[in-house]
Amino acid sequence: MSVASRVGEDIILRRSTSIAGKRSVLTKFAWVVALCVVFVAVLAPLLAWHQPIVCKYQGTYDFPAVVDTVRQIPVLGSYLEKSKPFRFPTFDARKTLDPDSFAIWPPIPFGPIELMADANLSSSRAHWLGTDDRGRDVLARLIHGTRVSVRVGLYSMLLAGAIGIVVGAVAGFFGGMCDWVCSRFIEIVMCFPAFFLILAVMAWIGEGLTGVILVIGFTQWTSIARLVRAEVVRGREADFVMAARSYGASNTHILIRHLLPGALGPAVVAMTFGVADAILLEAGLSWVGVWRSVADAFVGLDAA
Amino acid sequence: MTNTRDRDTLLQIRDLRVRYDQAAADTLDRVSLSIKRQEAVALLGDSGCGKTTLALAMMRLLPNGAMVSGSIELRDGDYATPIELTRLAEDRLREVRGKRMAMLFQSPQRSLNPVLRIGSQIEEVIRVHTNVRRADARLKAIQSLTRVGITDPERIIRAWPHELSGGMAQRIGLAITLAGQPDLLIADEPTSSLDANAKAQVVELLRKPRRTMGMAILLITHDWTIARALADRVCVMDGNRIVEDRQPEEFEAHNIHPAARRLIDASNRRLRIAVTNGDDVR
Repeated sequence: MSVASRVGEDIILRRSTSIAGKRSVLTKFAWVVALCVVFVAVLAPLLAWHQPIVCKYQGTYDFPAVVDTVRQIPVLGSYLEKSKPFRFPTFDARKTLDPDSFAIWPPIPFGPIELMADANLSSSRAHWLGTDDRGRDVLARLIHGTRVSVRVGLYSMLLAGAIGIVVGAVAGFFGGMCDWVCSRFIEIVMCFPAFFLILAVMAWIGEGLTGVILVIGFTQWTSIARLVRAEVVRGREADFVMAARSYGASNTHILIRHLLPGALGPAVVAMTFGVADAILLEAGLSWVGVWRSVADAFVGLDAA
Repeated sequence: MTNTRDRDTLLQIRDLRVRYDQAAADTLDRVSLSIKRQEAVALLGDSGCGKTTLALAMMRLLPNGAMVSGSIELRDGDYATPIELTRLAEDRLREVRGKRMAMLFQSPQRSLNPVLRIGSQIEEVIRVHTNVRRADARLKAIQSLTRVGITDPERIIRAWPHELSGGMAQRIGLAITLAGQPDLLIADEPTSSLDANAKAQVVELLRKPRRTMGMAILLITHDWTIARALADRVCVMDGNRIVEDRQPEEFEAHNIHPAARRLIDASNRRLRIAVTNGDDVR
């Protein structure tokens, strides 16, 4: 009998560890995918660009694609803004100007808005995914589009998360009239269709990534706020909150230290789904032609 | 004579009445009680007689809808005038809670936040009470755990609440309440969720700070044996009011209130059941 129970214990033990193992493999896989997307977004000009990564021209070395990558990083890039970027001449011209020149190109040696000779090419060794109706390389546009999508998804959800967590926590914690006002406000905001609101805002302040991010952020926080409110209401009556009050903790302290940690889990999950929704919304807008996501992202950068 | 007694009094409750929102009757009906410095008073009563309500009223932790009348005065050796707790503003109340009066709750595990490690919860209390840096708070947390008889504080400090046994959790609850070095500790059924062994340990741990810190205790319990073991004075509550207020020895001899008799008999009977069960097993 004792042997049987021992065996049973073993099975239970093994099963639970294998579930834990599987979960950690899944987690690792998810991290790898997410990091790949971020990697592609941040390093887009090193993967697909119309300028080489390293080149030597007329006796000097230069790194135009690297410079352009750094230039597009929000804070760091502003230091490089002043100097006019080096431009490597086209293949035919450089041979006649400087026979000693050489260059290492990105894997896809085309920019996202650069026009090729031929439109509507099917996939070939030069253009892995072919070219579109205006003769632009599709894979290059895909890589640079990732950068826009990630920016829209992350920034708009950071904004939505900040609003949602504050409104939800205040509504849930203080209850009563405050809760009523916040909840009605949440319901009113939920009624705004983000898609059409963006169209209106675009007409008002003009096209641009900032407008899209702001509108998505200011409309998509409601589900986060509702989740946080529910968690805070549940936790507010818990014994450990009364215990914290009994040793002299203030309302702010109880809310931030005791209630928000428990409420952040559901909020973060809602935010990750929100990132996907925001990307889809942005892609929809771009497809309808309300704004030209990839082209607009390079306004100012690639006027040359 | 009256003067010296007055100075000895730490807390004076007079004619306290509490009625919950939309309740038909008072939950506390003109309750008067005084606690002297360093005195251990047990409040004995059946469940639902208003013991916990009294404790919550003292800490001003009653729900918003509760109506309170009467007075609760907390005296300070230095203060000329006592502090009236029933009308104290919320920000001044925070200076009383934890530092002057602290409360130990009935369910030790539920009074710890499940998503925070033990160490950070104790450090947090220390940082609420004293203005110390994080590293010093950690050191103090370890000291406070040693004081409540935990032998491996470094391990416990990294543990989560669900990993602890009931007795261990109650020790941590005690460490948290003692962190502010209060004059009065209100212990609300501190042993009712524990087994006999852990019970005895908690009673011993409650005795110690009385000696070392000169702390008064209000022990709320339905268990006569615990009250008898710890208290200088036993008050019995029945029907929302206090019906007996004596020294524990007097309960044997005197003609006492039937409610007190019933509670004492109940705990004796439980003892007998425990003994017969032991015989059966053997």
